[in-house]
Parts: sequence; structure tokens; C-alpha cells
Amino acid sequence: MDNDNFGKYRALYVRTAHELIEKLKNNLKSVNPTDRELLETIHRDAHSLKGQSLFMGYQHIGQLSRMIEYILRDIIGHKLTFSSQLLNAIIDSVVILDKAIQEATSNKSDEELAREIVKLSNLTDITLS
Amino acid sequence: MKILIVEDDPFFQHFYARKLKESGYEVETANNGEEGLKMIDEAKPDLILLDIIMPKKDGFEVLQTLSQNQLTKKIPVLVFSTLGEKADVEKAMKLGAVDYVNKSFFDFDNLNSKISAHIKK
Repeated sequence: MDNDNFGKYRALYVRTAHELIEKLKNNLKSVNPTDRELLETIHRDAHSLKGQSLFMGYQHIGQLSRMIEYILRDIIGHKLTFSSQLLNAIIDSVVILDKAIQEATSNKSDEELAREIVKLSNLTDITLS
Repeated sequence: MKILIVEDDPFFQHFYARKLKESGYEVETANNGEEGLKMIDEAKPDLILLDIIMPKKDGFEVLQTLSQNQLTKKIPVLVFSTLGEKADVEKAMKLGAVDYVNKSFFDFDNLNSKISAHIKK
């Protein structure tokens, strides 16, 4: 996207991404492994956050969201075991995503996001291509 | 030409609706699959842009329902995909979608040419 379009839609992205982050934070506080509907909601919200972020050029935000999406997909599909350790790691990642989105306009370093992706990958054996 | 966007993500719904309206299309939007099916009956679009992962009927369920009706099965459907969803796109094509749009990056010329190729004039 050219600079003119990017600027026009950045405010929309920050608002909609923030709404998704708040939903994720609230839902992750109360989710349990038997609540399929809530797990699917969290999966969809991570999927949406991934899509918007990649579209706007925020690659690391998009990739970390994608990792969370895939973890939820595999929990729902019974390929991955829901654990409190994994849940806490996802919650930590969402907090970092929140900060990254707020800082998105200042182009700060993506190193912290890249570390989170590696941390979740090590916990789950999910790798992003 | 009327396009119906069935998409639960407000960012993409707003973005694509705006871009298509700027290009001269009439645009309606629906927030989920269930709403989308209702609007297809009411609005009778010439083409549908359909997300796959949605609440209240996902894109696959919408495609299945459309294919069971002689009138709606003729409406061309382009599915939205993002990175890493090749299997979903293939499944959607088997269920009747005619093409897909990659949401991960914006290429309006590509979107426009796909719409032009499939929309009945």
C-alpha cells in the first residue's frame, strides 16, 4: 500500500486491532479446555489480528498473531494439550502484542515479538513457514 | 454491479467496502455467514466476497448452502484467504467458490481483474 493509503488506514487498524486485543485479554482470562465456543472465538480473533497486521505491513505482529491462531487451532483440533503453562505464555504474548500495536506508529524494534514467536514455538512444536 | 462482502473483521469489511465503492461498485456488507445468507436472498448481489473463518456459519457452510439453491449457486463467490490457508482455499473451490483473494497484501488491480472476470455483465 502506498503512503497515502497506509496513513488513512493506520488509525482504523490501531482501533480494530486494539479491540481484538481487549477481547483476547478478556477471553483468555476465563477460557478452559472444555469451552469450545470460547476457544473458537479466541482462534477467530487471533486470525483477524494476523490478517490485519500482515496487511498493514506489521510482519512480526502478524506472525505472532498467526502463532497464537495456530495454537488455538491445534487445541480445538485436539492436536495440542491445553495447559496452564501454555495459556500463560499466550497471555504474555497478547500483552506484548498490545504494546507493539500501540507502538506501531513509531516503528520500534520487533525483536521482542520475534522472541515471543520462538518461545511459543518451543512450547508447542508449531513452526511458521 | 452489486457486491456483497461477507466478512466478520471490521477492518477488512470497511477497507474493501470503501475501495470497491470508490471503483463504482454498489456494496453491501454482512458480519457473519448467517447474516450473509439472509442478505444474499434480499440483496441479490452480482458477486460475493466471502471470508472463510467467521462466527454463525463459516464460509464453507455458506458455500454449501448456496450450492443447494438453483439461483444462488450461479452467483460467483471469491473467498478471502490469508497466509497459510491453501487447504482452506482448495476446500472452498471444491464447494463452489470460483476464485480467491489473498488478504495478506493489497493488490487492487488483481482484485478488480478477478471481479471483472467473474461478474456477469
